[in-house]
Amino acid sequence: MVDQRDDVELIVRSRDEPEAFGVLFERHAETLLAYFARRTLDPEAAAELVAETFAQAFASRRRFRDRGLGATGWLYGIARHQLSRFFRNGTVDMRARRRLGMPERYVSTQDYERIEELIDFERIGRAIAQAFALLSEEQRDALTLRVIEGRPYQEVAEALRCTEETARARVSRGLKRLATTIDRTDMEIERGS
Amino acid sequence: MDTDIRYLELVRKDLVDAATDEVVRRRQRSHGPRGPRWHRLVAVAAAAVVSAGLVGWFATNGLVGDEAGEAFSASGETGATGATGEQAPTLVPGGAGHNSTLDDESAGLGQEPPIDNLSRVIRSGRLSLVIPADSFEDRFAQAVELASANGGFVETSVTRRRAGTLTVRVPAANFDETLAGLRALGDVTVQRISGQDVTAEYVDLQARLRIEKSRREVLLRLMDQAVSIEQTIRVQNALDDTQLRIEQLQGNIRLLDDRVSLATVEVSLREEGVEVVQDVESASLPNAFERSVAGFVGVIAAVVIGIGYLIPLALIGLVVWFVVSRVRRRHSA
Repeated sequence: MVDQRDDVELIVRSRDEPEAFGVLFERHAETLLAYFARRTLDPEAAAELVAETFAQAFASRRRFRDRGLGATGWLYGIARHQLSRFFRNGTVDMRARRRLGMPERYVSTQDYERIEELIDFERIGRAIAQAFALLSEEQRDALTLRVIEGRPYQEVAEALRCTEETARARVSRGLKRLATTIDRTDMEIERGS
Repeated sequence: MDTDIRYLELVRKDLVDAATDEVVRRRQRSHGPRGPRWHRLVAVAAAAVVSAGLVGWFATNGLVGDEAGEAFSASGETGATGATGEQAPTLVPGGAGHNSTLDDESAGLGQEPPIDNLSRVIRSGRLSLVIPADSFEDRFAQAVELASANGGFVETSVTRRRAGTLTVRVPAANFDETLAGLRALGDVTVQRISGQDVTAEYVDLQARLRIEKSRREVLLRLMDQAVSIEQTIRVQNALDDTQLRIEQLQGNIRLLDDRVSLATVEVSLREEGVEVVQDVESASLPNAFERSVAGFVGVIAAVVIGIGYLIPLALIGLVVWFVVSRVRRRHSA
Protein backbone atom coordinates (compact mmCIF):
# COMPACT_ATOMS: atom_id res chain seq x y z
CA MET A 1 0.00 0.00 0.00
CA VAL A 2 1.41 3.38 -1.04
CA ASP A 3 1.96 5.86 1.78
CA GLN A 4 -0.10 8.96 1.00
CA ARG A 5 1.66 11.30 3.42
CA ASP A 6 3.78 14.12 1.96
CA ASP A 7 7.54 14.36 2.52
CA VAL A 8 7.35 17.04 5.20
CA GLU A 9 4.94 14.93 7.22
CA LEU A 10 7.19 11.89 6.81
CA ILE A 11 10.18 13.83 8.14
CA VAL A 12 8.19 15.05 11.15
CA ARG A 13 6.69 11.63 11.84
CA SER A 14 10.08 9.88 11.50
CA ARG A 15 11.00 11.25 14.94
CA ASP A 16 8.63 8.71 16.48
CA GLU A 17 7.97 6.36 13.58
CA PRO A 18 11.21 4.88 12.15
CA GLU A 19 9.49 3.43 9.06
CA ALA A 20 8.49 6.93 7.91
CA PHE A 21 12.10 7.74 7.07
CA GLY A 22 12.28 4.52 5.10
CA VAL A 23 9.33 5.68 2.98
CA LEU A 24 11.07 9.01 2.37
CA PHE A 25 14.21 7.12 1.31
CA GLU A 26 12.22 4.95 -1.11
CA ARG A 27 10.73 8.03 -2.77
CA HIS A 28 13.98 9.84 -3.45
CA ALA A 29 16.90 7.39 -3.29
CA GLU A 30 16.99 6.29 -6.91
CA THR A 31 16.49 9.80 -8.33
CA LEU A 32 19.25 11.05 -6.07
CA LEU A 33 21.46 8.15 -7.16
CA ALA A 34 20.99 9.17 -10.80
CA TYR A 35 21.75 12.79 -9.86
CA PHE A 36 25.05 11.79 -8.27
CA ALA A 37 25.92 9.22 -10.93
CA ARG A 38 25.56 11.72 -13.79
CA ARG A 39 27.78 14.22 -12.02
CA THR A 40 30.50 11.93 -10.70
CA LEU A 41 30.36 9.32 -13.50
CA ASP A 42 31.39 6.93 -10.72
CA PRO A 43 28.75 4.35 -9.61
CA GLU A 44 30.47 3.55 -6.28
CA ALA A 45 30.89 7.20 -5.31
CA ALA A 46 27.31 7.93 -6.36
CA ALA A 47 25.92 5.10 -4.20
CA GLU A 48 27.99 6.21 -1.19
CA LEU A 49 26.91 9.82 -1.70
CA VAL A 50 23.26 8.71 -1.55
CA ALA A 51 23.90 6.86 1.73
CA GLU A 52 25.79 9.78 3.26
CA THR A 53 23.20 12.34 2.11
CA PHE A 54 20.36 10.39 3.72
CA ALA A 55 22.39 9.74 6.88
CA GLN A 56 23.06 13.47 7.13
CA ALA A 57 19.40 14.24 6.44
CA PHE A 58 18.39 11.79 9.15
CA ALA A 59 20.82 13.33 11.67
CA SER A 60 19.61 16.85 10.97
CA ARG A 61 15.90 16.18 10.41
CA ARG A 62 14.96 17.81 13.73
CA ARG A 63 16.33 21.06 12.40
CA PHE A 64 14.31 20.76 9.18
CA ARG A 65 12.08 23.77 8.56
CA ASP A 66 9.96 23.96 5.44
CA ARG A 67 11.09 27.25 3.88
CA GLY A 68 8.99 26.85 0.74
CA LEU A 69 11.35 24.43 -1.00
CA GLY A 70 9.73 21.37 0.54
CA ALA A 71 11.60 18.28 1.62
CA THR A 72 13.04 17.76 -1.88
CA GLY A 73 14.75 21.14 -1.85
CA TRP A 74 16.16 20.42 1.59
CA LEU A 75 17.37 16.97 0.53
CA TYR A 76 19.03 18.27 -2.65
CA GLY A 77 20.64 21.06 -0.64
CA ILE A 78 22.38 18.41 1.46
CA ALA A 79 23.16 16.43 -1.71
CA ARG A 80 24.82 19.44 -3.38
CA HIS A 81 26.90 20.02 -0.28
CA GLN A 82 28.03 16.39 -0.21
CA LEU A 83 28.84 16.55 -3.91
CA SER A 84 30.97 19.68 -3.55
CA ARG A 85 32.83 18.02 -0.66
CA PHE A 86 33.41 14.99 -2.87
CA PHE A 87 34.82 17.11 -5.70
CA ARG A 88 36.95 19.08 -3.26
CA ASN A 89 38.36 16.14 -1.27
CA GLY A 90 38.20 13.37 -3.82
CA THR A 91 36.46 11.05 -1.33
CA VAL A 92 32.93 10.61 -0.01
CA ASP A 93 32.41 11.80 3.54
CA MET A 94 31.49 9.07 6.04
CA ARG A 95 30.95 11.05 9.22
CA ALA A 96 27.14 11.00 9.29
CA ARG A 97 26.99 7.23 8.64
CA ARG A 98 29.60 6.59 11.35
CA ARG A 99 27.70 8.72 13.84
CA LEU A 100 24.57 6.69 13.22
CA GLY A 101 26.51 3.45 13.47
CA MET A 102 25.61 2.43 9.93
CA PRO A 103 27.78 -0.41 8.53
CA GLU A 104 29.90 0.13 5.44
CA ARG A 105 28.10 -1.25 2.36
CA TYR A 106 29.69 -2.28 -0.93
CA VAL A 107 28.31 -1.94 -4.44
CA SER A 108 27.88 -5.34 -6.11
CA THR A 109 28.64 -5.98 -9.79
CA GLN A 110 24.94 -6.07 -10.61
CA ASP A 111 24.36 -2.80 -8.80
CA TYR A 112 27.36 -1.26 -10.55
CA GLU A 113 25.95 -2.04 -13.97
CA ARG A 114 22.49 -0.88 -12.95
CA ILE A 115 23.87 2.48 -11.76
CA GLU A 116 25.84 2.84 -15.01
CA GLU A 117 22.53 2.58 -16.82
CA LEU A 118 21.29 5.52 -14.78
CA ILE A 119 24.22 7.61 -15.94
CA ASP A 120 23.11 7.20 -19.58
CA PHE A 121 26.55 7.67 -21.11
CA GLU A 122 25.10 8.10 -24.58
CA ARG A 123 23.11 11.16 -23.56
CA ILE A 124 26.00 12.51 -21.47
CA GLY A 125 28.30 12.05 -24.48
CA ARG A 126 25.89 13.94 -26.67
CA ALA A 127 25.65 16.68 -24.04
CA ILE A 128 29.46 16.98 -23.93
CA ALA A 129 29.70 17.14 -27.71
CA GLN A 130 27.00 19.83 -27.82
CA ALA A 131 28.68 21.79 -25.04
CA PHE A 132 32.07 21.46 -26.74
CA ALA A 133 30.65 22.82 -29.98
CA LEU A 134 29.41 25.90 -28.14
CA LEU A 135 32.94 26.86 -27.03
CA SER A 136 35.03 29.39 -28.93
CA GLU A 137 37.69 28.03 -31.30
CA GLU A 138 40.49 29.23 -28.98
CA GLN A 139 38.92 27.45 -25.98
CA ARG A 140 38.32 24.24 -27.98
CA ASP A 141 41.97 24.18 -29.13
CA ALA A 142 43.23 24.85 -25.62
CA LEU A 143 41.03 22.10 -24.13
CA THR A 144 42.01 19.62 -26.84
CA LEU A 145 45.73 20.16 -26.24
CA ARG A 146 45.57 20.26 -22.46
CA VAL A 147 42.70 17.92 -21.45
CA ILE A 148 42.44 15.41 -24.32
CA GLU A 149 46.12 15.22 -25.34
CA GLY A 150 47.43 15.95 -21.83
CA ARG A 151 50.22 18.31 -22.91
CA PRO A 152 51.95 20.65 -20.42
CA TYR A 153 50.93 24.32 -20.43
CA GLN A 154 54.28 25.36 -21.94
CA GLU A 155 53.58 23.26 -25.05
CA VAL A 156 49.94 24.39 -25.16
CA ALA A 157 51.13 28.01 -25.12
CA GLU A 158 53.70 27.38 -27.87
CA ALA A 159 51.14 25.61 -30.07
CA LEU A 160 48.59 28.40 -29.58
CA ARG A 161 51.29 31.13 -29.88
CA CYS A 162 50.31 32.80 -26.66
CA THR A 163 51.68 33.11 -23.12
CA GLU A 164 51.25 30.33 -20.56
CA GLU A 165 48.91 32.54 -18.53
CA THR A 166 46.65 33.03 -21.53
CA ALA A 167 46.67 29.27 -22.21
CA ARG A 168 45.67 28.58 -18.61
CA ALA A 169 42.90 31.17 -18.78
CA ARG A 170 41.47 29.63 -21.99
CA VAL A 171 41.48 26.11 -20.50
CA SER A 172 39.91 27.33 -17.27
CA ARG A 173 37.17 29.36 -18.98
CA GLY A 174 36.49 26.51 -21.42
CA LEU A 175 36.10 23.94 -18.64
CA LYS A 176 33.80 26.24 -16.68
CA ARG A 177 31.57 26.83 -19.66
CA LEU A 178 31.56 23.13 -20.48
CA ALA A 179 30.57 22.27 -16.91
CA THR A 180 27.74 24.81 -16.90
CA THR A 181 26.36 23.54 -20.21
CA ILE A 182 26.55 19.88 -19.13
CA ASP A 183 24.93 20.65 -15.81
CA ARG A 184 22.05 22.39 -17.58
CA THR A 185 21.68 19.38 -19.89
CA ASP A 186 21.72 17.06 -16.83
CA MET A 187 18.88 18.94 -15.29
CA GLU A 188 16.94 18.70 -18.52
CA ILE A 189 17.57 14.95 -18.56
CA GLU A 190 16.40 14.62 -14.93
CA ARG A 191 13.28 16.61 -15.64
CA GLY A 192 12.59 14.44 -18.70
CA SER A 193 13.20 11.15 -16.88
CA MET B 1 11.41 -1.28 -1.55
CA ASP B 2 10.57 -0.70 -5.19
CA THR B 3 14.12 -0.83 -6.60
CA ASP B 4 16.38 -3.46 -8.09
CA ILE B 5 19.51 -1.92 -6.63
CA ARG B 6 20.50 -4.00 -3.62
CA TYR B 7 22.77 -1.28 -2.20
CA LEU B 8 19.80 1.06 -1.78
CA GLU B 9 17.76 -1.64 -0.05
CA LEU B 10 20.57 -2.18 2.46
CA VAL B 11 20.99 1.54 3.12
CA ARG B 12 17.23 1.85 3.65
CA LYS B 13 17.36 -0.95 6.21
CA ASP B 14 20.35 0.68 7.98
CA LEU B 15 18.53 4.02 8.18
CA VAL B 16 15.34 2.47 9.56
CA ASP B 17 17.45 0.56 12.12
CA ALA B 18 19.15 3.81 13.16
CA ALA B 19 15.76 5.50 13.49
CA THR B 20 14.44 2.60 15.59
CA ASP B 21 17.51 2.74 17.87
CA GLU B 22 17.01 6.44 18.34
CA VAL B 23 13.36 6.03 19.32
CA VAL B 24 14.23 3.24 21.77
CA ARG B 25 17.04 5.29 23.33
CA ARG B 26 14.77 8.30 23.72
CA ARG B 27 12.08 6.24 25.42
CA GLN B 28 14.67 4.71 27.75
CA ARG B 29 15.96 8.16 28.61
CA SER B 30 12.52 9.52 29.46
CA HIS B 31 11.16 6.44 31.28
CA GLY B 32 14.28 4.46 32.03
CA PRO B 33 15.80 3.51 35.39
CA ARG B 34 17.13 7.01 35.81
CA GLY B 35 13.57 8.26 36.22
CA PRO B 36 11.49 10.78 34.35
CA ARG B 37 12.97 13.99 33.01
CA TRP B 38 11.72 16.18 35.86
CA HIS B 39 13.69 14.07 38.35
CA ARG B 40 16.86 14.88 36.46
CA LEU B 41 15.93 18.53 36.32
CA VAL B 42 15.50 18.58 40.11
CA ALA B 43 18.83 16.77 40.52
CA VAL B 44 20.58 19.27 38.22
CA ALA B 45 19.00 22.21 40.08
CA ALA B 46 20.05 20.75 43.45
CA ALA B 47 23.58 20.18 42.17
CA ALA B 48 23.70 23.76 40.90
CA VAL B 49 22.57 25.14 44.29
CA VAL B 50 25.06 22.97 46.20
CA SER B 51 27.86 23.99 43.79
CA ALA B 52 26.92 27.64 44.18
CA GLY B 53 26.90 27.24 47.97
CA LEU B 54 30.32 25.60 48.00
CA VAL B 55 31.80 28.21 45.66
CA GLY B 56 30.27 30.98 47.80
CA TRP B 57 31.61 29.40 50.98
CA PHE B 58 35.11 29.10 49.58
CA ALA B 59 34.90 32.61 48.18
CA THR B 60 34.01 34.09 51.58
CA ASN B 61 36.06 31.84 53.86
CA GLY B 62 39.01 30.82 51.75
CA LEU B 63 40.38 27.29 51.69
CA VAL B 64 41.54 27.33 55.33
CA GLY B 65 39.34 26.57 58.27
CA ASP B 66 36.86 28.89 59.86
CA GLU B 67 38.36 30.86 62.66
CA ALA B 68 35.22 30.38 64.74
CA GLY B 69 36.08 26.73 65.03
CA GLU B 70 39.33 27.57 66.71
CA ALA B 71 37.86 29.22 69.78
CA PHE B 72 38.97 27.64 73.01
CA SER B 73 36.67 26.70 75.81
CA ALA B 74 36.42 29.15 78.65
CA SER B 75 36.25 26.34 81.21
CA GLY B 76 39.34 25.79 83.36
CA GLU B 77 41.33 28.55 81.79
CA THR B 78 43.43 31.12 83.55
CA GLY B 79 43.17 34.57 82.14
CA ALA B 80 45.56 37.46 82.26
CA THR B 81 45.30 40.90 80.82
CA GLY B 82 48.10 43.36 80.51
CA ALA B 83 50.66 43.18 83.28
CA THR B 84 48.32 41.63 85.82
CA GLY B 85 48.45 38.03 84.61
CA GLU B 86 51.06 35.73 86.06
CA GLN B 87 51.30 33.50 83.00
CA ALA B 88 51.29 36.25 80.46
CA PRO B 89 53.43 39.13 81.46
CA THR B 90 52.99 42.33 79.48
CA LEU B 91 56.26 43.42 78.01
CA VAL B 92 56.41 47.07 77.07
CA PRO B 93 59.50 48.01 75.11
CA GLY B 94 61.27 51.25 75.62
CA GLY B 95 59.07 53.50 73.60
CA ALA B 96 59.27 51.40 70.46
CA GLY B 97 56.32 51.95 68.18
CA HIS B 98 54.71 54.55 70.40
CA ASN B 99 55.89 57.65 68.61
CA SER B 100 52.65 59.57 68.65
CA THR B 101 52.66 62.35 66.13
CA LEU B 102 50.15 64.35 68.09
CA ASP B 103 51.28 67.44 69.82
CA ASP B 104 50.78 71.08 69.10
CA GLU B 105 53.95 71.24 67.04
CA SER B 106 53.41 68.25 64.77
CA ALA B 107 49.65 68.41 64.47
CA GLY B 108 49.24 72.13 64.74
CA LEU B 109 47.88 74.69 62.34
CA GLY B 110 49.60 74.74 58.97
CA GLN B 111 51.66 71.65 59.75
CA GLU B 112 51.01 69.32 56.81
CA PRO B 113 52.11 65.71 57.37
CA PRO B 114 55.03 64.66 55.17
CA ILE B 115 53.95 63.15 51.86
CA ASP B 116 55.75 59.85 52.45
CA ASN B 117 53.99 59.59 55.78
CA LEU B 118 50.46 60.01 54.42
CA SER B 119 49.60 56.34 54.13
CA ARG B 120 48.06 54.90 57.30
CA VAL B 121 47.37 51.16 57.39
CA ILE B 122 46.34 49.13 60.43
CA ARG B 123 47.91 45.72 60.10
CA SER B 124 46.63 42.69 61.93
CA GLY B 125 47.01 38.98 61.72
CA ARG B 126 45.65 35.81 63.23
CA LEU B 127 47.43 32.50 63.52
CA SER B 128 46.27 29.14 64.81
CA LEU B 129 49.07 26.74 65.50
CA VAL B 130 49.17 23.09 66.45
CA ILE B 131 52.29 22.35 68.49
CA PRO B 132 53.85 19.04 69.65
CA ALA B 133 52.59 17.40 72.84
CA ASP B 134 54.04 18.70 76.12
CA SER B 135 55.52 21.77 74.48
CA PHE B 136 52.86 24.34 75.24
CA GLU B 137 54.70 26.21 78.01
CA ASP B 138 57.94 26.40 76.03
CA ARG B 139 56.22 27.57 72.85
CA PHE B 140 54.10 30.07 74.72
CA ALA B 141 57.23 31.52 76.34
CA GLN B 142 58.95 31.61 72.92
CA ALA B 143 56.00 33.56 71.50
CA VAL B 144 56.28 36.09 74.32
CA GLU B 145 60.05 36.38 73.78
CA LEU B 146 59.52 36.81 70.07
CA ALA B 147 57.17 39.72 70.69
CA SER B 148 59.71 41.31 72.99
CA ALA B 149 62.59 40.73 70.59
CA ASN B 150 60.63 42.52 67.86
CA GLY B 151 60.02 45.54 70.05
CA GLY B 152 56.51 44.52 70.98
CA PHE B 153 54.54 43.25 73.94
CA VAL B 154 51.76 40.84 74.85
CA GLU B 155 48.53 42.75 75.17
CA THR B 156 46.30 39.95 76.42
CA SER B 157 46.55 36.25 76.92
CA VAL B 158 44.18 33.44 77.78
CA THR B 159 45.55 30.01 78.60
CA ARG B 160 44.43 26.66 79.88
CA ARG B 161 46.52 23.56 80.52
CA ARG B 162 47.64 22.66 77.03
CA ALA B 163 46.26 25.44 74.89
CA GLY B 164 46.00 29.20 74.88
CA THR B 165 45.65 32.42 72.99
CA LEU B 166 47.75 35.55 73.17
CA THR B 167 47.42 38.91 71.49
CA VAL B 168 50.73 40.48 70.59
CA ARG B 169 51.35 44.11 69.63
CA VAL B 170 54.52 44.81 67.67
CA PRO B 171 55.77 47.82 65.69
CA ALA B 172 54.22 47.72 62.20
CA ALA B 173 57.69 47.55 60.64
CA ASN B 174 58.34 44.27 62.46
CA PHE B 175 54.94 42.73 61.68
CA ASP B 176 56.12 40.35 58.93
CA GLU B 177 59.16 39.26 60.87
CA THR B 178 57.07 38.57 63.96
CA LEU B 179 54.51 36.63 61.96
CA ALA B 180 57.24 34.51 60.36
CA GLY B 181 58.75 33.76 63.78
CA LEU B 182 55.36 32.80 65.23
CA ARG B 183 54.59 30.56 62.27
CA ALA B 184 57.76 28.61 62.97
CA LEU B 185 56.47 27.66 66.42
CA GLY B 186 54.11 24.98 65.09
CA ASP B 187 51.93 23.75 62.24
CA VAL B 188 49.75 26.55 60.94
CA THR B 189 46.08 25.56 60.66
CA VAL B 190 44.64 29.03 60.21
CA GLN B 191 46.32 32.19 59.03
CA ARG B 192 44.54 35.42 58.38
CA ILE B 193 46.31 38.69 57.59
CA SER B 194 44.52 41.96 57.01
CA GLY B 195 45.45 45.56 56.35
CA GLN B 196 42.89 48.27 57.00
CA ASP B 197 43.65 51.52 55.19
CA VAL B 198 42.66 54.42 57.46
CA THR B 199 44.47 57.14 55.52
CA ALA B 200 41.27 58.97 54.61
CA GLU B 201 40.03 58.91 58.21
CA TYR B 202 43.42 60.10 59.44
CA VAL B 203 43.59 62.98 56.96
CA ASP B 204 40.04 63.99 57.86
CA LEU B 205 40.82 64.08 61.59
CA GLN B 206 43.95 66.13 60.97
CA ALA B 207 41.99 68.64 58.88
CA ARG B 208 39.28 69.00 61.50
CA LEU B 209 41.93 69.45 64.18
CA ARG B 210 43.57 72.26 62.20
CA ILE B 211 40.22 74.01 61.82
CA GLU B 212 39.46 73.74 65.53
CA LYS B 213 42.89 75.09 66.43
CA SER B 214 42.41 77.95 64.07
CA ARG B 215 39.09 78.68 65.75
CA ARG B 216 40.82 78.56 69.15
CA GLU B 217 43.37 81.17 67.97
CA VAL B 218 40.54 83.46 66.88
CA LEU B 219 38.70 83.00 70.18
CA LEU B 220 41.85 83.72 72.16
CA ARG B 221 42.27 87.01 70.26
CA LEU B 222 38.60 87.83 70.90
CA MET B 223 39.15 87.09 74.57
CA ASP B 224 41.91 89.70 74.66
CA GLN B 225 39.57 92.22 73.05
CA ALA B 226 36.58 91.47 75.33
CA VAL B 227 35.59 94.56 77.30
CA SER B 228 32.63 93.31 79.32
CA ILE B 229 32.04 90.36 81.62
CA GLU B 230 29.26 89.07 79.38
CA GLN B 231 31.53 89.11 76.33
CA THR B 232 34.27 87.39 78.29
CA ILE B 233 31.91 84.62 79.50
CA ARG B 234 30.50 84.00 76.02
CA VAL B 235 33.98 83.79 74.48
CA GLN B 236 35.17 81.59 77.32
CA ASN B 237 32.27 79.13 76.74
CA ALA B 238 33.03 78.96 73.04
CA LEU B 239 36.71 78.48 73.86
CA ASP B 240 35.89 75.62 76.24
CA ASP B 241 33.79 73.86 73.59
CA THR B 242 36.55 74.26 71.04
CA GLN B 243 39.17 72.96 73.44
CA LEU B 244 36.98 69.93 74.18
CA ARG B 245 36.63 69.16 70.50
CA ILE B 246 40.39 69.58 70.00
CA GLU B 247 41.07 67.08 72.76
CA GLN B 248 38.56 64.62 71.36
CA LEU B 249 40.15 64.86 67.92
CA GLN B 250 43.63 64.51 69.39
CA GLY B 251 42.45 61.43 71.28
CA ASN B 252 41.05 59.88 68.13
CA ILE B 253 44.22 60.63 66.20
CA ARG B 254 46.35 59.23 69.00
CA LEU B 255 44.25 56.05 69.02
CA LEU B 256 44.54 55.71 65.27
CA ASP B 257 48.23 56.38 65.42
CA ASP B 258 48.64 53.72 68.05
CA ARG B 259 46.77 51.16 65.96
CA VAL B 260 48.80 52.09 62.89
CA SER B 261 52.20 52.11 64.54
CA LEU B 262 51.56 48.88 66.42
CA ALA B 263 50.34 45.88 64.51
CA THR B 264 48.26 43.23 66.27
CA VAL B 265 48.83 39.51 66.02
CA GLU B 266 46.50 37.05 67.69
CA VAL B 267 48.06 33.63 68.15
CA SER B 268 46.26 30.48 69.23
CA LEU B 269 48.44 27.59 70.37
CA ARG B 270 47.15 24.13 71.01
CA GLU B 271 48.98 20.88 71.58
CA GLU B 272 48.40 17.93 69.32
CA GLY B 273 45.41 15.92 70.43
CA VAL B 274 43.73 18.80 72.22
CA GLU B 275 40.22 19.11 70.91
CA VAL B 276 39.10 22.42 69.49
CA VAL B 277 36.17 23.19 71.73
CA GLN B 278 33.31 25.31 70.56
CA ASP B 279 32.28 28.15 72.78
CA VAL B 280 29.46 26.62 74.85
CA GLU B 281 29.14 29.61 77.12
CA SER B 282 25.98 30.78 75.43
CA ALA B 283 24.32 27.58 74.28
CA SER B 284 20.90 28.73 75.42
CA LEU B 285 17.72 28.25 73.39
CA PRO B 286 17.43 31.89 72.25
CA ASN B 287 21.10 31.85 71.35
CA ALA B 288 20.65 28.60 69.46
CA PHE B 289 17.77 30.20 67.56
CA GLU B 290 19.93 33.23 66.72
CA ARG B 291 22.70 30.94 65.54
CA SER B 292 20.30 28.92 63.41
CA VAL B 293 18.97 32.10 61.79
CA ALA B 294 22.53 33.29 61.24
CA GLY B 295 23.41 29.89 59.77
CA PHE B 296 20.39 30.00 57.45
CA VAL B 297 21.23 33.50 56.28
CA GLY B 298 24.87 32.46 55.90
CA VAL B 299 23.98 29.52 53.66
CA ILE B 300 21.68 31.68 51.52
CA ALA B 301 24.39 34.34 51.31
CA ALA B 302 26.95 31.71 50.30
CA VAL B 303 24.61 30.42 47.57
CA VAL B 304 23.98 33.96 46.29
CA ILE B 305 27.72 34.70 46.27
CA GLY B 306 28.37 31.38 44.54
CA ILE B 307 25.77 32.17 41.89
CA GLY B 308 27.60 35.43 41.29
CA TYR B 309 30.74 33.43 40.55
CA LEU B 310 28.99 30.72 38.54
CA ILE B 311 26.85 32.92 36.26
CA PRO B 312 29.77 34.41 34.28
CA LEU B 313 31.38 30.95 34.09
CA ALA B 314 28.10 29.47 32.88
CA LEU B 315 27.75 32.24 30.30
CA ILE B 316 31.27 31.58 29.02
CA GLY B 317 30.47 27.86 28.89
CA LEU B 318 27.25 28.58 27.01
CA VAL B 319 29.07 30.71 24.42
CA VAL B 320 31.77 28.03 23.97
CA TRP B 321 29.09 25.32 23.64
CA PHE B 322 27.17 27.43 21.12
CA VAL B 323 30.28 28.12 19.00
CA VAL B 324 31.44 24.48 19.14
CA SER B 325 27.99 23.14 18.23
CA ARG B 326 27.71 25.61 15.33
CA VAL B 327 31.15 24.65 14.03
CA ARG B 328 30.38 20.94 14.36
CA ARG B 329 27.03 21.40 12.64
CA ARG B 330 28.69 23.29 9.81
CA HIS B 331 31.30 20.57 9.41
CA SER B 332 28.76 17.78 9.48
CA ALA B 333 26.28 19.52 7.14
